[in-house]
Amino acid sequence: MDLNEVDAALDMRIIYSITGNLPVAEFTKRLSINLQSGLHFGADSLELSFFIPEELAANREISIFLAQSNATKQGNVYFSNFEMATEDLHDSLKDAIEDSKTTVLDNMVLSKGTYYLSCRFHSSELKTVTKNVLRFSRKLDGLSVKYLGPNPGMKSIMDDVKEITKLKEILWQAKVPGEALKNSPFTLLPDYWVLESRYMTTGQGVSELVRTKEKIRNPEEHGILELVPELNLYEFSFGPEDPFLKGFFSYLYETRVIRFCRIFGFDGGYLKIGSLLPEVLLDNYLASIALLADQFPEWEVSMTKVVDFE
Amino acid sequence: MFPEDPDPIGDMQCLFSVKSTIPFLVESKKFPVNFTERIYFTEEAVGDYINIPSSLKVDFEYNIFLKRMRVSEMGSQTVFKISSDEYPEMEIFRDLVKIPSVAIDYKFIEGGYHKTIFTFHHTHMTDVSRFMFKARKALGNGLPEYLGPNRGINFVMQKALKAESVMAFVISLKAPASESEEIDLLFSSKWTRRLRCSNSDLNNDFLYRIDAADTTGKNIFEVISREDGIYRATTASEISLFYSKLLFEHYNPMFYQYHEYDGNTLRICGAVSQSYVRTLMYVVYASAKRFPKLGIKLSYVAPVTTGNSAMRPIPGNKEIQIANSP
Repeated sequence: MDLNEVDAALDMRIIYSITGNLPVAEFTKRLSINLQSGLHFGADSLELSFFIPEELAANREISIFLAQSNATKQGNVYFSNFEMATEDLHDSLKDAIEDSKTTVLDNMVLSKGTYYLSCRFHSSELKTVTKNVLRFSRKLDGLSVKYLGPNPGMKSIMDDVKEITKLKEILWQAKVPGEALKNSPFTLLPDYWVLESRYMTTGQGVSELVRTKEKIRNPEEHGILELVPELNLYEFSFGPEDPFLKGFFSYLYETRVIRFCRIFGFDGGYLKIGSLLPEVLLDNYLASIALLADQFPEWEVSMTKVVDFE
Repeated sequence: MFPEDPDPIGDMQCLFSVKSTIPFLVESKKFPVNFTERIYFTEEAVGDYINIPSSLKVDFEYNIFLKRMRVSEMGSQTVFKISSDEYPEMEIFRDLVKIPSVAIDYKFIEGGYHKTIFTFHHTHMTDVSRFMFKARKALGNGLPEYLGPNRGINFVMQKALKAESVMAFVISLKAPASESEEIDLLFSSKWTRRLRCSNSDLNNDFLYRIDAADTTGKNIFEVISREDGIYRATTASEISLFYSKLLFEHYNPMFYQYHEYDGNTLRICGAVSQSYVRTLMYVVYASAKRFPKLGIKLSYVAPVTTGNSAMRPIPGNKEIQIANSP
């Protein structure tokens, strides 16, 4: 399973910048700091989360912020979560990501009072993306575009993230039991595929970009959307029918693990799952996998790789 | 003379890190130093000798800490002992060495965490994960800081050198002949092997890299991976029992040990704490005296340095003949 397989199909990148009266913005401006954040899409909601490592909580300003934002501690990290209440912003963000089906939300960072959202997409949707930018900037005064151009590649995008938080690359696998395989949404896909989650969710169904080796026959019959025919790139949504995947997504949401490069693959009966994540959240991620391993012993969950992202 | 980086036996490596509530570990966080541990297993207990580096002994606060912890002198070493009798959490490491292809490279304390570098064969990937999940459950934490391809001895030595000065050594001897059918079988082919961990069975639990053809008809070998030529055997010769017993009694903070047998000469290659070299020389001397026909020699000793090769021999190093020493 190659992390770059979907990335190579997405040739464009856009970085939105948003300023204004938004959660936590004033705080980061005053302290002149950068905070890595995560955006979790729900059916009708949009949740913004921040993590602050325990050792920073000794700082007076930060501890006041944590208390005011009802931060909760999980593992070695404090999380502050905010429901995106401003309707315009909520709708604009949801539309920006969901409207263009090839868009993958890679990263969201709050830097000294400004939010930056970095996304990759395929050039066939350039028109949709630019139309949305114009539409949203009419609604939101603070919205602007910091970059629109060729995708420099996941590695380069992640190098930027690494400036803010140290990253780990993690890969694990689970042997899909025969019965589960019959009902798996993945049976709709041909033999070899790599799938990348377009964004993080609050635990329910998720929209994925999938790149296959062979063409999918009659994709529309299975609710699969063909996006770029010459690249075998499709949009594939699956809901929480599968208890294992449902468990995985909800545990990750409960522990608010921010992930990048969210990849799935299937090989020789094994479901393979990989992503990059902040090192300080590794413990939370592992807690989710350990829970799954406990709950689904017949899936033979095992970690196969944990390395520094360099 | 000394292989710079031996072929790893086991394609995977893991650095597993677990936070401890053992007072020594909690308090040791204050001091900017790593501690080498030697873990050992007996039927009754899992124990750890923590090696106290001498470099910090001049520090006043550090000295008070050591006095309070009641560290003890063992030969040339200052050590602190922890055991599962007092701290049952240590028992979790028994689960790790139950995985047949696991070999412990190095165990140390860093920032209050037990850190264990071990290698294993990928066929035991699920077992290693099960161990990690079980440890998390038992201790409330624990994660792999690294899990991936075996990065070999360099990675281990970089960590070891953060704790103390390390010396590489080679001991060579002739193969013991006709001790028992088992030993004859073992020494009838070429192999490399490495020690899995220290235990009260006197360190005779080895992983072998050996040609499949050489294992035919030898039921002494348990197959780990025929494809990669990795086997396990727990047989031990009289000399190896003697040598291991001496090392065990004299607290050997051995970081790494592997043996090469070319059909004629057995070379024991390893690394020890610098403060242990004198004891090692004594062990070699005692072994040579006990087994005069085996031509036991300490043939190489040199400081381990960081750099491209962790165990780089210094050119021109003379063989040190121990067998005839007084």
